[in-house]
Amino acid sequence: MGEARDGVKVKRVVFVTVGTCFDALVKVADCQEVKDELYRRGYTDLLIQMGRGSYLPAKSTGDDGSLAVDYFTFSSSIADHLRSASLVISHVGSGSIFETLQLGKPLIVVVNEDLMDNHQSELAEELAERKHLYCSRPLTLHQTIASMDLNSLVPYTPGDATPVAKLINRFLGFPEES
Amino acid sequence: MSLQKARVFENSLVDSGAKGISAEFMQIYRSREVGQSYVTSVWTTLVATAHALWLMIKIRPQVVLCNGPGTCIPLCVIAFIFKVVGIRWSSIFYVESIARVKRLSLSGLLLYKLQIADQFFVQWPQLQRKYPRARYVGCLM
Repeated sequence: MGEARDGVKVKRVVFVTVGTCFDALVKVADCQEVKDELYRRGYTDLLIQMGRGSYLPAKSTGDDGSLAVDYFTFSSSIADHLRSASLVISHVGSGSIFETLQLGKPLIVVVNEDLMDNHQSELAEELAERKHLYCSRPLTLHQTIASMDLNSLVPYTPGDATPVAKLINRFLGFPEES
Repeated sequence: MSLQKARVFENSLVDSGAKGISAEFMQIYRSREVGQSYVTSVWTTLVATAHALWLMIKIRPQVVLCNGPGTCIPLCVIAFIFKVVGIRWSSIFYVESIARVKRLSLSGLLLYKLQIADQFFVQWPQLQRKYPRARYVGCLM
């Protein structure tokens, strides 16, 4: 919760990242239902990386006892935003997903139903089955936020590419390093 | 953006002493842009293939390591044709994208079915079960 400490409220930021363009996610993240639910669950700020979508969220300072809302289109690296977030809501981009999981941040992934080839939902569903994140659609984001139990998420162990390097070295005939 | 990130990463390896010189970066043409018409794609694929041939002859790589997307296909095909005619310069390794859990990408499917890659790596066990000649290496990220 945003407790007052020496009069300063602890910031709990929800970072929404949509990649290139995902208006449906920006719209639903900015809708009153979702914002109220996030505020109810103790978040104080909502920051939306909106890409080149056409829907502009309404900025808010949050001084009136509600969520502070801000947005930007793109940034060369979202790493800092991910690092300072208490909750990440992301489109299904492998980069965003694994950067977030490696930082150990709670993650809700939102599948874009408008995309033609939806193989991307395979990754979201698999990671959700393994309980590393929550998977949602724009229309069900509100319910996901309302019912999520972040303590039930299983931490993700980052992968390691060394086995691939070893297999390639072995194939090429390099001696095995001890 | 990937180019920028790759450069930054390579420089960090050089700075930390992990390697001597940074990798060289060259850009190759795409066979087809997203949403491009198939008719014009024939021409752009030919251009991409000619460019791949030029790169192949200029670099003569011992290893071709790629992860799709389709940009890698002309290079892999050229390297494979060279092998077939006896010019055994390159071993070809393909790592399927981490986003591919149950089905291979089109690039992956082509390289797998035509047995163009010397080793074909997948990051999820479901794919290894479906494509037994693939090697499962777990998630790399």
